[in-house]
Amino acid sequence: MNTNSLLEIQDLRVSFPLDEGTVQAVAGVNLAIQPGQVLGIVGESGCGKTVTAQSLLRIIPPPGRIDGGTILFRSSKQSGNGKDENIVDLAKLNPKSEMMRRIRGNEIAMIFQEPMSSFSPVHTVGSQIMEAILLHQDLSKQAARERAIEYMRLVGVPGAQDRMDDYPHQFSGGMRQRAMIAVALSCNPSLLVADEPTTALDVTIQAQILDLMRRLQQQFGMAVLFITHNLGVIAQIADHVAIMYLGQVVEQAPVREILRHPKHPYTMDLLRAVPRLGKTAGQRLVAIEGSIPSPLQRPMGCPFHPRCSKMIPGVCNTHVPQWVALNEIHSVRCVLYEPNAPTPNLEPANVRAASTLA
Amino acid sequence: MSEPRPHLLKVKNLKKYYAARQGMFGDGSGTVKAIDGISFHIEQGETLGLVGESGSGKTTTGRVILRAVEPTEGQVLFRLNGGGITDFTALPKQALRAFRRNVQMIFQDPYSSLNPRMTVRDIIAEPLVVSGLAKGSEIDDRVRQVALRCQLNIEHLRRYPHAFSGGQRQRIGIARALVVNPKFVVCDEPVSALDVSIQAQILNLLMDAQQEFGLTYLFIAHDLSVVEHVSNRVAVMYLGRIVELAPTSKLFYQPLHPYTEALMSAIPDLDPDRMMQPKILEGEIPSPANPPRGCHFHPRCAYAQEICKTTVPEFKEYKPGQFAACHFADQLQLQGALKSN
Ligand SMILES: Nc1ncnc2c1ncn2[C@@H]1O[C@H](COP(=O)(O)OP(=O)(O)O)[C@@H](O)[C@H]1O
Ligand SMILES: Nc1ncnc2c1ncn2[C@@H]1O[C@H](COP(=O)(O)OP(=O)(O)O)[C@@H](O)[C@H]1O
Ligand code: SF4
Ligand SMILES: [Mg+2]
Ligand SMILES: [Mg+2]
Repeated sequence: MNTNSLLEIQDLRVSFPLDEGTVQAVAGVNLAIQPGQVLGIVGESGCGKTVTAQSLLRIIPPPGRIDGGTILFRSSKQSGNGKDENIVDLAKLNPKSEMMRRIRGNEIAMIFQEPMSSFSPVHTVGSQIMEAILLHQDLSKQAARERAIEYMRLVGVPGAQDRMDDYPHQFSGGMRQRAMIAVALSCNPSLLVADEPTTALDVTIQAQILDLMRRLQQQFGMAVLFITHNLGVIAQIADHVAIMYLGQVVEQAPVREILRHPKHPYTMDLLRAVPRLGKTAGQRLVAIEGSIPSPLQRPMGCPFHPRCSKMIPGVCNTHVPQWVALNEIHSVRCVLYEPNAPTPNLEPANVRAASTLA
Repeated sequence: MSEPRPHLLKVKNLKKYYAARQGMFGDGSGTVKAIDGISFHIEQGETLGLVGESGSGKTTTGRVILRAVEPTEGQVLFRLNGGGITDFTALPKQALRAFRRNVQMIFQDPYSSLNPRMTVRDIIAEPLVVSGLAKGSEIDDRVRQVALRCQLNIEHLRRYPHAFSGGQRQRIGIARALVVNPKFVVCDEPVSALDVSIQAQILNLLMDAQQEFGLTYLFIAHDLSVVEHVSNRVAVMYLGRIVELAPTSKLFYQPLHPYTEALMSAIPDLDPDRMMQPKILEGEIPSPANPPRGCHFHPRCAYAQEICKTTVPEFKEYKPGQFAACHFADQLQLQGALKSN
């Protein structure tokens, strides 16, 4: 593991064996997060963003299982003489183990698209924040209540004191999202995983939550893994970006680098396909042809090849591209950048297979 | 600027009130004014975008215009091909059915808007059959023709919708709307549920079809980049009222209503160096069952004065083609999402 990284995922593979066949939800994901960094994960539905996040916390729902790869996490425990750091492979831990539970509660926290699902409807929001605080901090009930009110203020719930005793359904979507952030922050995590936290919100509320998360991230100095399908949101919140397609990260780079000098054909095509204010009005967009394949029918070779405008027959449809570091900050998974990519195998069968898939 | 085109549609003081569902805390008394006196027109062949936060009344507007629900008050007038004016809101049942084929709707959710027990062929054919426009083999010819135009695989017409991806389903929904050769189509968030790479395909299809068949669109969406991309003019709704209506570039460069400004400041820009500086709106969107007095927007408005609390601002034209309902529309210097340089 890189000496600086907080988290490094290498060749992670997760599958769901179903009656209809095996879904390769995560098919070799590589990514790295530095402490205090916001890494955005972007990708279309079903590309494995949520399952990747669930893997870190070891909360993959059955029958999902990790088939391979490592999830190295720099865990740090406060002890008498300062911080004890050690590197843990989360992929190898038992999800129910003491260690995993401690990491899940104290070092990695998660917020979701629908905050309602992570709150109990029969307890007040305040009591649930208090409960989270008492789990991590040695405080009296009264002190925990004060602390909970503090957190509610911090995340911008107006009238925090009065709203402590409200139930989750009395909160609007945006306020629930704030309350969930308060719960997540209560353990002062080194990594916050946010899975589409603004997708269900109106754009005005989304802007407020992004604003809030940016401020809190700086204040608490935590790293954030921010999952979204919205490229604009990524541009606004992320330092680094990982682009996913069909269970793989196909490119990772700093946000400006990836938006201005994308390398992977999928990233390039995706950026061309979105309407841009003041730039595309009235024009046709450059669409990516075809549709996202069913996860039960992963294309051979590069998973993007059936839709790729730069596809090389005899290579892309037969050879799985390797994860290549172009430099210290930019990595990509595409044969165009692979130093030792195979030469095209133009046997008629390969060329035919490529054209029928396209 | 292009020639002014004839108006295809005129909406006059349209209202739709619902009896409020009894609120959980007994505060949902009275009526929900889902739309509360809106007026606008749409030119033939243009796209009017309709934006606003959820609950502002966009879908209701589309549904009332198509008489999927009856208005509480107001008129919807159509003038097709420069012919006579039809008061759609006053059409008796028989005439209504004949007229309906001219107006169609494309829905937001391609997953729930198609009947799962009908084949794709039958789904697309249904409006043709209902309107009695075609019979027998004509029906199949027309279905095939429109399916091809929407880039559907003819082989798939025998299948059921569950076998299709979101993008394919939206193509089926579009084919179904276009099969009767309509003049006017309400597109209600047609790409909101789709992935980015599929969005572009569907937007292209809708824009191509508009050119090809001379369609007029009311295009509802909450994604302002999408709306700017497709619309000639844009109307902004807040709590059942239109607060601003303007040609697209005017609205995006120089909005006249504070709510438009707030919406635009919240668009996440694709350029990381143009950091979003959202005008944080105070408080929450009020319930339409109990909207604020005066200007509905005043409790959240950064520019509100005393008069805003008591007096409803008039919706009027401040610049050519640019209408707004704000007491200070001609005094404020507001920021748009786009800046001229
Ligand atoms: N609980 C589950 N059971 C079966 N398949 C699943 C489950 N969760 C996810 N998958 C499959 O794994 C793939 C990745 O899903 P997900 O990570 O949820 O995608 P994303 O979050 O990027 O939209 C999809 O094909 C999805 O159908
Ligand atoms: N059938 C109905 N009965 C009662 N209230 C309704 C009904 N349909 C819509 N409303 C209310 O009318 C308002 C506007 O809704 P809608 O037109 O769906 O808004 P939008 O499409 O802008 O999100 C909302 O407050 C909604 O709850
Ligand atoms: S009328 Fe007053 S409250 Fe309404 S938008 Fe204008 S300034 Fe704000
Ligand atoms: Mg997901
Ligand atoms: Mg709607």
